[in-house]
Amino acid sequence: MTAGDAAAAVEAANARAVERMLAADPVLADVAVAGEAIAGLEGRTVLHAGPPIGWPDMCGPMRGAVAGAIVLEGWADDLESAGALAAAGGVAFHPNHRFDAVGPMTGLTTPSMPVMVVENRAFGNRAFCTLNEGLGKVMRFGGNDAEVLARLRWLADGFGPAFGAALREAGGIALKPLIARGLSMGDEMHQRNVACTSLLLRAIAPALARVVDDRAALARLFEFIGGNDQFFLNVAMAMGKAIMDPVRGIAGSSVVTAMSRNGTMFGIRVSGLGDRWFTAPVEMPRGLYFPGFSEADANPDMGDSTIVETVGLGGFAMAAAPAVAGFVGAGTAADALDYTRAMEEIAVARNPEWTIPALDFAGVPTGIDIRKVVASGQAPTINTGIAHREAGIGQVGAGVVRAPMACFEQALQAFAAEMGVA
Amino acid sequence: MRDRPQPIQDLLDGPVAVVNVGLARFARTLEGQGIAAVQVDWRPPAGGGPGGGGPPAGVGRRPPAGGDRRLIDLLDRLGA
Repeated sequence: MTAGDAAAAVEAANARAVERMLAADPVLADVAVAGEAIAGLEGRTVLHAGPPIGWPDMCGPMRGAVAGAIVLEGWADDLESAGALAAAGGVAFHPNHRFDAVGPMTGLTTPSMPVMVVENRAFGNRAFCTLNEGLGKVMRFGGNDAEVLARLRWLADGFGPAFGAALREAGGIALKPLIARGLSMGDEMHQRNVACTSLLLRAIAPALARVVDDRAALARLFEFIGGNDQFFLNVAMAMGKAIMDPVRGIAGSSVVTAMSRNGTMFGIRVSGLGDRWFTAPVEMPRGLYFPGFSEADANPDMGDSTIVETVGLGGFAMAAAPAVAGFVGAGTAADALDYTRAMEEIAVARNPEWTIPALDFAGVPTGIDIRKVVASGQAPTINTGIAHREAGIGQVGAGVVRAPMACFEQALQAFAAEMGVA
Repeated sequence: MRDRPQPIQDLLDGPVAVVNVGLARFARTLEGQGIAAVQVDWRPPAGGGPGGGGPPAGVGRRPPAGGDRRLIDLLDRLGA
């Protein structure tokens, strides 16, 4: 293949990739038990955020979460023996992405956990994400004590079944229009989800009231959603996964289909290169820390939530959410505009359905092209929470982090070889 | 109250001429008190606003392809 032919083929393939992204019809359809809904998730299997990793290389919060999940599943009686079981190879570790799933921060998914089910009704695929546990001491930040496990059991036995029944009763909640409204209300869907959480609660409340007879139980459901501004994050993540999976495997496409981190390594996958991971060490977010904490307490970047940036939200939609720029220490409202403009340089297109009022209703940058990333020297910007580096303490701040350029350079070399121009 | 230094006292003894640079609200506040003020429309160069001199600090970039000749060649062949 000549260089001219290769360039034309990549342009055409990338146009197809973005076409699929824009044609997606993601619908929040159900909450199901992970082990029943996710094909192949069986036995003592633990799904985690990021590219593949084994117990020896896991960071503190990831190990803490794994130990907690093992106790939650009843595979060990206490955290100590759970850690010993994991260290001895007594559980199988796999990335969420391998099982059509995603999870925030540590991202653990185990068979008994409830997962939200997002159907991409344009392509017939489904994607999964656990329920957001709320703020404070939670498993996604490495929490694993009795309080954390009790909340997870209530999510599995109380919240999940009721929320799933309500979603089925409502016929699902279409997510693209909800995201569009959220963008106009100041959300970027990674570190700010207050508008979309409210919109979702407003949409599902009547169905919840119809399927839950016990008024006290219903009130607790409403309180849980209404008391957690980030409840919608996990919905956005499952939606991102449902949108991006049909983009995998388009020959000749240099569009990124996944960005993800496990607290140790950052990984990306590229449409024309199948499900191969290109990895590099994660970076430390720059941001603001809660009182009493500093960068010395922080764990490096972690979580599958970068699927949100992969579809053009989060750091790519910073201009929609000036309040986030301050929260993550990224500067002023004017800076927020520049963040989004910078991401336009590395994207294939703009999404005409997800627009940003402050940019004269320009669409969010859509379809990250590894060629543009390497050529521009502009790595994707990610808005993220920051976990304490020790298990069980939780979130200590929020910030901005960049995807490591080395991932894109490795992928570019592999892509050139795949295209026959290396 | 401490006595003012003599040069400042001399300045304030006569009519005061105010030249305000930047935020116009300061000039308008003085005018509201009957004090004449000349407003100079000025803002810091590359003030960080839209188009104001490149990406903000958190969006720093590397040189294209990190200056790596081999990557630049690959990009040329891939049409970037």
